[in-house]
Amino acid sequence: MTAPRPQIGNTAGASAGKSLRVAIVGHTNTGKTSLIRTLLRDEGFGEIEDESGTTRSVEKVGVYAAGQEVLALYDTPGFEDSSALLLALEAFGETLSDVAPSEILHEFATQVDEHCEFDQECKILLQALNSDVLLYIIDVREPLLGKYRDEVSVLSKCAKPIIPVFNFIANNEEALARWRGQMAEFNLFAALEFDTVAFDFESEKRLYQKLQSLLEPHYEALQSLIDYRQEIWESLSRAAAQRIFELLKEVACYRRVMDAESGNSVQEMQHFVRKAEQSTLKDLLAIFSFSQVDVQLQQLPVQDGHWELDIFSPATLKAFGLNTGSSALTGAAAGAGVDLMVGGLSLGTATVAGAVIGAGVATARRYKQELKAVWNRSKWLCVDDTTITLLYFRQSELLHKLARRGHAAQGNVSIDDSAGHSIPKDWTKIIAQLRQHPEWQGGRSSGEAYERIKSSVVSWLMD
Amino acid sequence: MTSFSFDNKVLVEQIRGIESPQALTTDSIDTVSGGDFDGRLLRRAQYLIRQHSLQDTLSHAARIWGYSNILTTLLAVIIGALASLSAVSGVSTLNIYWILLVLVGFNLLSMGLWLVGVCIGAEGLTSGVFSKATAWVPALLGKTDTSKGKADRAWVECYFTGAVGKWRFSQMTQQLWLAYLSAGLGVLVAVLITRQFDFVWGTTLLSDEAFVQLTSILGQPLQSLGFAAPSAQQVMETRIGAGYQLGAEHRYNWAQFLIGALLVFGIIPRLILWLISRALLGVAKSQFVLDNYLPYYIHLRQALMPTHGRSEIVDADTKSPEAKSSEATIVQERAEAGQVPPTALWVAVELGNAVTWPLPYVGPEHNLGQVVDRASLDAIGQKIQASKGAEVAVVVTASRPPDRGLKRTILSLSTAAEHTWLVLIHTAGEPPVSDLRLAAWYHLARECKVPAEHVIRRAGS
Repeated sequence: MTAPRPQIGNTAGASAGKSLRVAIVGHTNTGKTSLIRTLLRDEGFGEIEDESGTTRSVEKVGVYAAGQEVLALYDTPGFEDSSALLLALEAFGETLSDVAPSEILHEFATQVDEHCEFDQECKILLQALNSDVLLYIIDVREPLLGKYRDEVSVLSKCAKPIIPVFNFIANNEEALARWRGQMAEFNLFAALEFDTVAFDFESEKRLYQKLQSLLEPHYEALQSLIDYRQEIWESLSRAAAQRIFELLKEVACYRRVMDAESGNSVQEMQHFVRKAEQSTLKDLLAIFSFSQVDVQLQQLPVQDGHWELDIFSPATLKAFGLNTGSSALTGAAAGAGVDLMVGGLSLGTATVAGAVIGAGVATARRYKQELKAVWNRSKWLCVDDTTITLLYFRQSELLHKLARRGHAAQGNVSIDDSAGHSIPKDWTKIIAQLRQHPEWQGGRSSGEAYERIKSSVVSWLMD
Repeated sequence: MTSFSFDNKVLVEQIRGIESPQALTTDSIDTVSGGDFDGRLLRRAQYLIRQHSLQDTLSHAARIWGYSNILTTLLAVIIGALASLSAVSGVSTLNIYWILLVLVGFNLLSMGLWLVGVCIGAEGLTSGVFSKATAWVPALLGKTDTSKGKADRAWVECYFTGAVGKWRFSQMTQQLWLAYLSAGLGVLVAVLITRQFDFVWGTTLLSDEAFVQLTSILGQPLQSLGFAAPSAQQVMETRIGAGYQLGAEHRYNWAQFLIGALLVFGIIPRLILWLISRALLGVAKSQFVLDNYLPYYIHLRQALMPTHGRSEIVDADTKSPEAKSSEATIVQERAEAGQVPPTALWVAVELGNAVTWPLPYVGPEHNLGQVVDRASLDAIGQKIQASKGAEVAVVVTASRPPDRGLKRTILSLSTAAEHTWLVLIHTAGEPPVSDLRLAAWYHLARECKVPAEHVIRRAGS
């Protein structure tokens, strides 16, 4: 769908009502569309390619807080020849007398047929003139060139607040300092560091706070947006942490009678763990709006909906710095993820007197299988501590990276780094407690003990 | 606007159960727009119920529960009546404390356990065997993979787990005891009205004085409510073996005492606890929250409460995109690349920090400098023009995407020169340059009248 080219006073900006109109401007290929994708957490917005002039139209998208549009973001084409544009503008300005620079810009941009070589730049200028604030995106890896200064000079004529946004700042501290100095020469001190690759919600918040400080009339609306986004962000993180807890619970509560003859029980258990982890992976990606197609685009270590490295592969254990010493299954292959529990071993540890007195039926039902196992001298097959710990490490690492990752990221998210991972203080105790409650597997679980364990694990994951 | 009551939340949970793992199809989502997330969630659920005719499916569990509730209450009434009847049938002399023990004693014991359970938060004690016996219901229902089974399971999980479940079972427990005691009392009153009984009591372990005191203590609250109670002398006269013939007043006092004790120590406390349980059930229902952190609700929130609108083009590009060189062309052109003449003058264009200028093989006499802005471009352009018939090698970073600005700069330099070479520098630390990027450079070279054999790739410093 297309619309006529906007004009001052009768533009797309006006149609946005009271929302704050923000034009995203900058040189071509600096990450303007990427910034919007990251803010929206939507990889479907716009088009990103590693070449100039990918965005050739002005595209608007509204950002909502509780159903109300607070921001209207305008993605614009990139500047390609600002030096020539500036010269053309200066020449054009000499033909007009006593006209404000913004008016000169407007006249120039609306007479685009006469400046067809600057068609893209005219789109930027018109949108900039019809916006409340300009976000000037800078790729700090670029040298300080005259054309960038010319871009700022042109934009300055719009008489709109300009916020320089430094992109690709990771590991580029010196370049960032140079760019800060450069912007200071234009009195642009309210700059922002916002890496569309290494996304951080705090950066997003700072962006809105910068807008608040520059645009006082929109302060309340922006605050509502900050609060709303914060709430959404926290809910996503909590939902993901809770989903990981569900996985750990399902796996730790897993218990089957050992079939020593066929050995099918081990395979069945491994299949169960793989399936549970895959389901969690699917949910986590969905929570953070990463589709399966995006997984391939983003080169996550996932193939056909499965982790590239199998959870029971010794290589996975090694990658996370775990050893197989805790695997208790006699004759089991290293990393088989199997632990055995003698029937009835857990009997009594989770039993409380009240439950026995008041719930004889349930108690009998709860421990029926264990009592039977004691009687038959059979053994239980459980998932071993190492595998559960590995699941915890791998999922928490994925959560951390998904939560920090920009939707414009093009690189590889590597989930094979054990650095910084440590087993939580009560980890073994919590796993032991979960093992005592096979009835918690599947369906909704409740009760104080369950909630306490859940709360601990979720808080570890969210830290 | 419909409030998001407990029943509505259960409705939403039932829909969640049905939609697991496959979401129901909706032919319209516009009907749920507007309002907060809870409202949209409810409207979506109501819309799905109508669209898929799920009314019967969703009310199935509640109907079953209603029937079983009536049935168990009737059962309690029958048991209470039978207990009362069995205590008084076939005898003309009633052992007063034995009847009280049968009708009220076990009730008090159960009530005591319930109170302890509430105090220490032991679920087993508060909800009793009854709740535990029904704990298998969700698991049983979970085995049925039909919509009805899923909806029933969700209903049971909402109604019989957590605080709601605790107080619902509490209310149910009080209700059953109330039915049992009321039936027992009813039968007892009816029998006492129609038949004449003598009352006795006896003990082997306790002293007679203890029973006198017990009767006195139990009688005080009864008397304050207007019931008669036997005096100490009447108590002693009723002892088994006292040989005293009871008078009408004597019998009346004991009958009043029995009815009063049943009412005060059985029915009234149960009624109070029933009211408390009912009130706390209401509180628990009002505090019931959906687990909005479940992926199901996160997904619905993203769908029903979008954080952004649909994008729209407000100023479209009306020009057709420029034709670009194909990768096949590049391979062919690259094979024909020549060499920069040794006499050529070298110019760098916006090389950036990764490349040190001049390059090691560019001598000072051949170095015209680097274009970084308009002034440097003008200065270098003038130098080239001053050197009549100059051959110029323009050095650019291959990884940089060529744009109109670069094109104009290179065109400006090539116009001033007799012959121009375009040298694409690739530094060792940078990722490899894609064929598409090379194609763009060859395309730019052609537009700047630089022949393909004059496009050379070199490693930077």
